[in-house]
Amino acid sequence: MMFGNPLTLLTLGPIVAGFAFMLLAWATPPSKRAEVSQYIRILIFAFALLLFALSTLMFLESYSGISWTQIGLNNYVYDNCANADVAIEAGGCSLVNGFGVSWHVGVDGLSFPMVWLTTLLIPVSMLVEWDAKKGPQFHSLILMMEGALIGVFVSLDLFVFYTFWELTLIPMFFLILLWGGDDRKYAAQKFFIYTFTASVLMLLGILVMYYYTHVPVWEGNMTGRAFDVTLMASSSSTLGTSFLGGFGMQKAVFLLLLVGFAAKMPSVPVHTWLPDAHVQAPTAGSMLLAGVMLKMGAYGFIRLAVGLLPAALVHFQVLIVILGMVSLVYGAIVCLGQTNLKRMVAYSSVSHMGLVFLGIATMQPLGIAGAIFMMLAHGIISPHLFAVCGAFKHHYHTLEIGSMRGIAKHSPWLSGHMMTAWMGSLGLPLMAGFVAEVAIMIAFWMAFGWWVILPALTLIITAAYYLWSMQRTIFEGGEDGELPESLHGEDPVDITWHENAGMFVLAALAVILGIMPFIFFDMISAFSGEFVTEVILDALNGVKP
Amino acid sequence: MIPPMYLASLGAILFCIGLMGVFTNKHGIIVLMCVELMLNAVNLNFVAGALHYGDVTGWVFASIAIAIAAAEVAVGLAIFLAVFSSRETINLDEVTLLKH
Amino acid sequence: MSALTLISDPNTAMALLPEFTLVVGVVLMIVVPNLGNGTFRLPIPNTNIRLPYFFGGERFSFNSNPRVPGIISVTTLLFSTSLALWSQMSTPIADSNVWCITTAGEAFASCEGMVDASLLQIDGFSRLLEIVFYGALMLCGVAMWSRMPATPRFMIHAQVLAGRREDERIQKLLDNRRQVDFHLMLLMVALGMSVVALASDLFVMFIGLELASLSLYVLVAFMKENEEAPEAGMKYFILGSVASAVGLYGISLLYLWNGNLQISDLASSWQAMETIDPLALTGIAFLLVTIGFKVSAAPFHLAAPDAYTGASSPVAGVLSTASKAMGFVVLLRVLVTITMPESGEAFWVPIMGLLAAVTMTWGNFGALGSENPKRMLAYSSVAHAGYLLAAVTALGLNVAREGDHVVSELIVAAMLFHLTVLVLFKLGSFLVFSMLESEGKGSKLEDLYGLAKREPLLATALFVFMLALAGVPPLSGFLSKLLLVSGIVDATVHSTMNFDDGIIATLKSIHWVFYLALLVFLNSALSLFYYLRVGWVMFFEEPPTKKRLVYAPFLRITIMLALVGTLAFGIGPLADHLLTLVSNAAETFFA
Repeated sequence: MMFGNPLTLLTLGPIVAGFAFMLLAWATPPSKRAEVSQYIRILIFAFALLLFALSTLMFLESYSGISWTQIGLNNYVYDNCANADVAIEAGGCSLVNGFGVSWHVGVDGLSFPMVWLTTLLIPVSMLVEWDAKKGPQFHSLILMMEGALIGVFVSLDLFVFYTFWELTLIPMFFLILLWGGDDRKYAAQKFFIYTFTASVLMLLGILVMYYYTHVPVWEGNMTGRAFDVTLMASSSSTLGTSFLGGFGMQKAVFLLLLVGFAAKMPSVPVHTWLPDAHVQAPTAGSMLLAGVMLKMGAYGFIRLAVGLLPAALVHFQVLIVILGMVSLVYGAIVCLGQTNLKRMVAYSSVSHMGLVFLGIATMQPLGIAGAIFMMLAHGIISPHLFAVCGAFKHHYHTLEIGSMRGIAKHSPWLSGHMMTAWMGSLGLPLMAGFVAEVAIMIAFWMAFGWWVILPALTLIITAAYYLWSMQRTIFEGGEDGELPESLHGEDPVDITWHENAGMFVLAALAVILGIMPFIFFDMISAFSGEFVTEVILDALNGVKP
Repeated sequence: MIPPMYLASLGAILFCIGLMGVFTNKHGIIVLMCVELMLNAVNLNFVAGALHYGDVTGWVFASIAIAIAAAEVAVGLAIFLAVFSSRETINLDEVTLLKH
Repeated sequence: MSALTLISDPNTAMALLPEFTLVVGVVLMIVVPNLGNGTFRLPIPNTNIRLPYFFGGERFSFNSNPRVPGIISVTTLLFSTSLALWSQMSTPIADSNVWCITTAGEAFASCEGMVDASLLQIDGFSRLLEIVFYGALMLCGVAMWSRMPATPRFMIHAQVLAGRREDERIQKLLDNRRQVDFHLMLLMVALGMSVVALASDLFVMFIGLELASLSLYVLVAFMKENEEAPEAGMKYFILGSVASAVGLYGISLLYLWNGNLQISDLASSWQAMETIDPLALTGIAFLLVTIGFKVSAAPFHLAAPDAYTGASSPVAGVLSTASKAMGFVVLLRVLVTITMPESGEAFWVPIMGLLAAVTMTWGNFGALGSENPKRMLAYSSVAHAGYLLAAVTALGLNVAREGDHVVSELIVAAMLFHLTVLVLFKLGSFLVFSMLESEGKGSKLEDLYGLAKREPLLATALFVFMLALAGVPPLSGFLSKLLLVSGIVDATVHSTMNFDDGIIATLKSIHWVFYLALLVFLNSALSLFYYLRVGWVMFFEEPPTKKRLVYAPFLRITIMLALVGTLAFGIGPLADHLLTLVSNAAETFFA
């Protein structure tokens, strides 16, 4: 039961395989290293593609037979432990029975897009940074990262969730530290300390929820409690305001969780690790950091903070709006002043994740669907942005916006990708980001009326900094554009085939999801519709008489 | 016969003297002797208890406590010798290699 | 006659099988290395008839090997551990496994209604502790196998003067002698500790405590060629002997008060008191000094950092695991079995709470400020003692049963679980230091620089041990801390708690012991910094040399086993088995 589950395979498979490949690379005698490492990289890539194929097959209704729009709230597909209270007691999925820790996985309309996105981004990021030095180690770290990330999205047991949450730090930490830029030690340390401290606070929140999740004492359970999310969710919906002993405790736990998730998303004021980490991280690391790791925060926020404590969201609605708004506006304004391309893109991530907060805070089905779709769209577009930045760094050895002129003439493919990515990120119609932004804006208007002008104006700033940076980098200078000094007189080159291939996949997906958002939007809006009617409306009625 | 109370009081006095000596003296051997004094106080207490309750185990306890004291002195002197052979002193104030 | 009964009564022999195995090991340790081709001349005048005597003379080659004593002690401890484990596992329901050994040497299957006073009591609780003690000492023994320096310095000097420094055979023999001394002491520690775990009489318990302590003083001071070891031993000895003299005085006061020292009898006398007798109170207070020293609780912990630093790493590991566990056994026996009232708080709750708070905070700040990794681990051991003391404080609240869920048992089980897994990751990290020490390093943080480049596997193991000490999920260190905190929370907070009446009012209404749980959490977060620093220097600093550490295959395997245990007892079926074991043990403790 436990290991026959495809989600278990998706989670543990890459971790085990990553370790195995790492050992293989490490055990290769130095004389054969160059030769063997080629094969190892191909094997790792093939493995990642296999996992992508698996998750795509799960997605195809015609193959897997799952109608993703009809899952129902607090139900999960590929659930290895359905009816957790009965199943855990029977010992079907318990990991540590004495504590109520179980291996409980499952996906629904909220987590599946993230799982699919992760399996997509891993091979793409490998492709983009195909010839990293010490390739086998690099790629196996990315593979391990995949397992940990998917583990965060699929686990329905908070103990396991937290373990994977911390586990994602380790490969990312090493990616930054061993393959990063000049200032990598500082960046890695800052990254680690910020996210670790925040997650310790989150752990405190999780423990409080654990202490209040009483389950019937079954044989071998010493504490009489369980970490299972579905058990918490059902006790949250039956107890209402008296969940966690009362509303006051709910607020306290909500704030603790908020700190943990906001630092990961990241939202102002705990965002300062992000630009440093991004600037120093290798390209593939940045792509995963922006593409998936930031989504962990938003995912956790929706699943745990909102899903289990909806009344607290109603109470703190204004706080979330302010956090989202400040992140959005601050991120955009800071972007205007950046001269480093990667730093600018990093701040734009802060800005976009602010939109996710706004979407959630509307408490409208459309707003939450928009927020989740924003996570997906940003997960496709921002890796594209970082891939472009990485290509600049790789081929032009600089990221200073002012030092490059008229690149379009020398590197047409790179410039084309830059245009696509930049346009996608600023919310060009018919691209994925646009759909999400429009959904969030409409919901925001429905919830808060004309305040919508503020985020709408910010989108203009976004357009301004994107267009301005693109203009200066690839077009301005035209025919007589001088080359950046960092080239030291070398001939400028265009991107390699593998970079091109990886970026092309991302560009194509951004367009496809822009034209046909229903591919994912149906599943997401089915989730958010039920989420709002069954979770948030109750809370709204319960708290505001 | 001496009343048990007197024995116990003498024990208490001895114990206090021993404890005082431990805290005020810096020479290893003297500290060891003070510990012996405290252990003797223990013996007096056991004997007093044995007399008071008419219980034979008190005597057994006392004799075993003497053996414990002897073992302790043996171990202590051995350790002091080891310190002395490398440091030429067993003054507690001068044995300070580990303070960092 | 009682000594004879001890051996002839089959029940006694079966119940005390692990201890008898240890005695056999001690005898073997004395006999085997002394075997030789010595002969004995028959005292008949004018003849020279010599009978083979087998003691002394020229040693045989098999027993002059310096490895022999280590092999004997490790095998003995392995046997004892397996026997204790087997006796624990073969009877799943713990109650049926109780044996009481009386002063006459007879074993009874129940401790009720015996004619003679009971000396030793064997049940699930003491069996589990035996396993912990023997396991820790066995790891220490394995580490000592390959690393005892051949000869003390002054001997080398003497040999150089005499011009026979090159003599291999004598070298080997001297090495063998020192190994015998060390491992004999190790077995003595094991015997003393198991007496502490089994004792049902306070004086017997004290004898065990002294046997273990005296042997430990010697072990701390053992590496004479290193100037720091005798000094560490001296400090540890002086503080320890004063503490035990004070404790013994406390015991004698209890004897004056009660007339005998049976733990069950003391407990019923204590229950019968209407107001607390000052004599008894003083006795308990003096006894607490000894215990405080053994568990290295503030303010009696001052010798601990010095002792850990000066002692060789495996011995320091024993001090921080087995010796501490022994202290907590005495603490539980004295505070919980004897002085716990029928209902309501025990009198020592405020004192223990204060001690716990001071101990864990002091330990953590001490560890933050120390540059010597062994000293850092010593302070971290102090901090861990603080966490356990917090659990003891919660135990003193004496909360009633809540449904099927017995809070006191949960807390004791948590403490036992903590003490058990501590052997894996605390002693495990000392074992890694032991490998560094073999090349004369390990007392500075710089010695760990770049260990990952020299010994990737060992560095990973040490890193995981550090994470487990800090309590990072899903390692066993997290599970043990979670259990401890659960116990404290269960004892203090009731499910009705919320912040509806305003935060200040609610915070005031919670029992103060709850804040110890919060303090445990905060201290754990703080401790991450110094634990992670070890990981940082191992992975990201440049190593001074590229040379690999000593090749000690058994020690390496042992470290890897400890690593596997640290992971496996954190999550998965093994963790469940251990939890069942400790909860059974906790149940028998209160039975």
